[in-house]
Amino acid sequence: MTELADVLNKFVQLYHDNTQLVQDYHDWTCTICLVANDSNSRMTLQIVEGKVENTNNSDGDADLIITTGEQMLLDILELRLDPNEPYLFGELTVQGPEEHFLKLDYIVTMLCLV
Amino acid sequence: MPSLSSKFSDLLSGMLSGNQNGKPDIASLVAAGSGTAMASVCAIGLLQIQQLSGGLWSVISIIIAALLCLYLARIFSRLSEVVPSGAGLIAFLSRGFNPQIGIAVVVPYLFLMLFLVGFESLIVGTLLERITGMPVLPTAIAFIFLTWAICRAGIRTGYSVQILTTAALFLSLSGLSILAILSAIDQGRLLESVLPPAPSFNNFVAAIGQAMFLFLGFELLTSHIEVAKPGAVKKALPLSVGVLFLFYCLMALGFACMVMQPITEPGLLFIPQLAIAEQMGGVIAVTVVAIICTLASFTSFNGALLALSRFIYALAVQGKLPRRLAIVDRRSMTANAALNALLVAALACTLVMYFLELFDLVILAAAVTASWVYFSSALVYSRHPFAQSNKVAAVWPAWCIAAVLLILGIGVIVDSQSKKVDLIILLCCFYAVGLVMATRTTKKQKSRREQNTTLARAQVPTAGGHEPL
Repeated sequence: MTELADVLNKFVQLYHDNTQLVQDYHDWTCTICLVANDSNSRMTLQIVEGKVENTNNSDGDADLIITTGEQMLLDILELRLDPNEPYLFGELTVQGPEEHFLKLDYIVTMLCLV
Repeated sequence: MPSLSSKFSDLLSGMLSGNQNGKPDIASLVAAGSGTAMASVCAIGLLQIQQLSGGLWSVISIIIAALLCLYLARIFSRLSEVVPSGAGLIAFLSRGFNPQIGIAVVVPYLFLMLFLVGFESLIVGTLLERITGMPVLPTAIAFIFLTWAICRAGIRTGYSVQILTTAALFLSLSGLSILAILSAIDQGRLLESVLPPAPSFNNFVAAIGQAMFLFLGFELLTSHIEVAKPGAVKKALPLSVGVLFLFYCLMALGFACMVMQPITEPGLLFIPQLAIAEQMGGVIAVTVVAIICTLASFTSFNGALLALSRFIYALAVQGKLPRRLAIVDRRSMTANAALNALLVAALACTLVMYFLELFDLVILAAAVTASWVYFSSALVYSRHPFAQSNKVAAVWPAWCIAAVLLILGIGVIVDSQSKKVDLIILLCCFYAVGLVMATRTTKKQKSRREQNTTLARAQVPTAGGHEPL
């Protein structure tokens, strides 16, 4: 398993452990693809009714595609970095409706504050 | 089978809430780009250009500004292609230079937007005062409150509404301008109206600089890159400039052909679009123009406030603004604390503009800031990661454009005569705040990252603790 996959799984576990957050997004269904543009790694999360049902490295269609360097993805998933900063300064780009990115950003921010 | 009323309700909800099942096409983006720039305050800017240069000379200054903006459209296409970020200008400047420069350049631009929000709300107050008799200031304040409340509810106007309001604004004011021109032809005073004596060189340069302000906002179209169809932003940027160019040229000529002269009494805001409506169409035209301009201002405010609130939220998360502004409502996903701060700021700007009558000064500051923001964008175009070639031959056009834009901004300051000192003070204040925010970074960011690392190490389980999904 790649480092990105490993870190992502730990992040998902953290999220699932926060039952309030999962409950807040019980009506959220989305496929998010994380793309590391410097290492060509990618990981996809399938969120169904607020829970991450599956993570894999498939190339399928995603509702939201987040692209940045691999180290930055690792920093975000390990809660060392808020995604707003690299987003604001052009180091992280998003493709897809803003609402999905806002929800993901909120989750990361809340997990940082816990 | 859904009833007609439920279908209508869904359609209205979709239009109001911005629920776009498909990606916005070129027409939607052109409406968004040109609609953002076609603020009511631009009509006042246009009148100032008329007073500086007059008639066809104002049209020539608009043509020159439009040509510069066409090249800028090419620049912004490239910038958004390389960094396809909804954060727009700050992302481009941060990547090309560094985040500190990005913040230092963009923050004054955003301050200015708050003053323009205040200005625009007073125009709305004046427009509604003409048709309802309600006093200007309370109406302006109520307008801001209403827009804020709708933003707080997480409602963003959709592309359909943007298309409707932009088209209505374009057709109504262009139509009235054409009528004014035809009226001048009919009365045999067209040449006298459109061919005044040539302006001085300084006035002409200042007019071009102020004409740049008319296009301010078209570049915000790049913020739609995240949801737009591939290639749509690239095509929509120059088309937006084209729409704005046509619109402003017609209005400039229409204003030149107006019989009514601007009222310059202290404390009274002269709204040229009302004047031309009254001259050409009477009470009905005034009512229609007032309603259309108010709706157009509302759609612009809605987008601007939501975008600004996200920006403030992002800065607060990083500690560049008070952390209490970094609160997001988990249901509506709106940055409520930032929206509340914006409400206070917008109201303060409105009151300051109203009581100190800073109308001319704010337009001048907007013209300077627009020129310098575009100057920065032209410079960053020639830097990594945007430069398409290292050869000087490939980048000198952008440098020339950058130099012209810098000079235009300076030209506006030099020609501002009695307002020069106030203008310089206002700009210094804006840029000082930008510099302070830009430099107020690394220490706090480093300590927070260290804190987050400590938290992360405490929470993230060790390799053997949890099974992966």
